[in-house]
Amino acid sequence: MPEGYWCLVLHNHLPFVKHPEYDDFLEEDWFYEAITETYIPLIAVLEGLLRDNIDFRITLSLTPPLCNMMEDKLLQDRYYKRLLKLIELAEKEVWRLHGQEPFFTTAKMYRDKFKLVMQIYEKYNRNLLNAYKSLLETGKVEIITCNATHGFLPLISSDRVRRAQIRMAVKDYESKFGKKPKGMWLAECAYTYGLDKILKECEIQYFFVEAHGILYGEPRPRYGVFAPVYTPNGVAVFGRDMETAHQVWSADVGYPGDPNYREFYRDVGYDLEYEYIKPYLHSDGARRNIGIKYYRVTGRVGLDKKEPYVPQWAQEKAAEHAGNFMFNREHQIRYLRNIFDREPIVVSMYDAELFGHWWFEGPDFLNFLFRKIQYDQNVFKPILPTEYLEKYPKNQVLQPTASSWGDKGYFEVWLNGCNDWIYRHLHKCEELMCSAVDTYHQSVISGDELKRRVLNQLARELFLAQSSDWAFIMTTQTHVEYAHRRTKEHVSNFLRLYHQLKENSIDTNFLSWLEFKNSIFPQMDYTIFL
Amino acid sequence: MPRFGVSPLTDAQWAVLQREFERLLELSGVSMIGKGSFDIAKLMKERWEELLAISQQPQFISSGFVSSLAKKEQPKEQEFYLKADTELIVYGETMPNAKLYIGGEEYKLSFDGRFSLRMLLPDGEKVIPIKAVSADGTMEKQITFVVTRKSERK
Repeated sequence: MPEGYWCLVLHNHLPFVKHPEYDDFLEEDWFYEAITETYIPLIAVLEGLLRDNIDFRITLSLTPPLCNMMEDKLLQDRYYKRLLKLIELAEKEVWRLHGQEPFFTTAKMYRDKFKLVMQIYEKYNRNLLNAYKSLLETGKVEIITCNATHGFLPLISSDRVRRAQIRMAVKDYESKFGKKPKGMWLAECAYTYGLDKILKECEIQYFFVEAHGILYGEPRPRYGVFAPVYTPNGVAVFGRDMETAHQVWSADVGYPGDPNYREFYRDVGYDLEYEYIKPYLHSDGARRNIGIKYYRVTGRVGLDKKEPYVPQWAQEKAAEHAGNFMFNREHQIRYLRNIFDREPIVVSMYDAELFGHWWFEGPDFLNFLFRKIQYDQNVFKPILPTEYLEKYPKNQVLQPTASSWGDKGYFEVWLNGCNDWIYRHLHKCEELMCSAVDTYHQSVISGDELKRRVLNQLARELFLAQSSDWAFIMTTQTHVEYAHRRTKEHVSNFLRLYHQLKENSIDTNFLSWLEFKNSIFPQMDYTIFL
Repeated sequence: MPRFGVSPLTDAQWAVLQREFERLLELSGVSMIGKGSFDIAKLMKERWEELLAISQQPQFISSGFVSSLAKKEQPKEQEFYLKADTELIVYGETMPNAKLYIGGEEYKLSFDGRFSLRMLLPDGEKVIPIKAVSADGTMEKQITFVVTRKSERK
């Protein structure tokens, strides 16, 4: 009998980015890089654990935008071609670096990795949702959803529109996985009062909050974050464990900063001679990250002082860190068990892209970790949220406080001087959406299919404008121009369509173009706004 | 408004001593709340800015660094610098259905039987045996290049 449980939750999300109007587009790279470096490597790890009968558990949040991109034929084909080029480059690199250690070994590592990625991609017919469905059936993987387009729910103007975001998520999940989701990841773990009522209506059993969402709740939490609570509306809430978050995340002490791990910022896209690398850049010829990197973190040194990456050292370090993480969990859980009258649960929540994309060795770390948990200790076991709720169906009732997992713990990242201007536009569109549904619903029931299409596309444009990623990017000042462009584009599309609807002069070419380009949620049904 | 701080309300069913509750709060990570963003983008951006600040030279560094790291000299701050290195292009053609081996490893020919590859050329002697074998395995031809590089730095 274990003394406690550990629940790993990985949030897999990217904003819906699809640009059929261009042959290639820089921001689509977010998706392709994530497939190569995170999603498929993690799938490979989980398949390996299954093959070796490791009794692991993992909860994966897959957001609707990401699921829709995975199913999109254009993006599937583009990724396939991208991967072929990557393999071609990796093969050339093996020849270029022949006999030059340690670079030669690293080049072979990339070649073998990319070929394995291709093997898995083709095995699932280029649709990674097939892989996730297969994992879901094993009972060791729980797949949960997230509100429609990762909109920041507390800053949406009404419950009616929040409800639409959540209903769309449930609908989309059902269409892809054939059943209702048990849990939901609220975008940015952003909770505000009343959201749990909507989740309950949509039959969501549990969600997650940042630690203070529970710690500052009312009344005081009996078990801190080490047991779920029920909101007054009867939905279970799990709180994030900060110790495990810091152990992986912290810029100063976190694992990913180890000197032996791969350095993200020394990429062949910038390092290699231009004419050689040009065929692997975009058509504009601008240097960019390609995903082959030959140097390690080394320490706090400049880019030009980075030392060569040695895959074997990095693997050994990943194994060591996995052992360290497990050791700390044993002590943490043993201590908690001594002061509690039940087995505690430690919930570790991370962005999935940390594992593989930002921290290259992350998937290897998880692979080592689950194996060590099985064979090297007996203090704790991995668990799924629903399994823990089955063990402990009786929990404290507590009103969580409004909170998020963003910087400083509330809403500032998504509402500040860089992005506050978007909300009057979004709120206006939200108001007009509700008005349009109320006004034209009867016409649609009477058989007006064109109006149905317009209402559905209005909903898509609104949801895409609401994506919390744009406000976030405006704060972090990374791809600001793109975030501005996307927000303005969707608001503009919405308003143009809305006015055409009102004036009864719908431009069907424009509508068809939007349906093709902003094609998220093929099964969209505007009645989610009723 | 969101709460900031632990509630004064205690659940009547779960009353514990104040000091025990404070210990529980600490274990739950109450001191880490709001401290430092766990946003990847912010962390990586800060890291990038730090790297730029301490890097001496432009980001673009030629492939020569791959081979010359073993004996690189550390330039002093603000010192005038020159970096250069060499690669070798090996190219040729054979019958399109032949098998080609370079340094003992098979190299895939293009559809018309041509091949071209770039290889690092570090200091020292590099021996490059190139062998083509006919499709039926009965004939073979070999060319071996021996290339020597010697560099002097002043």
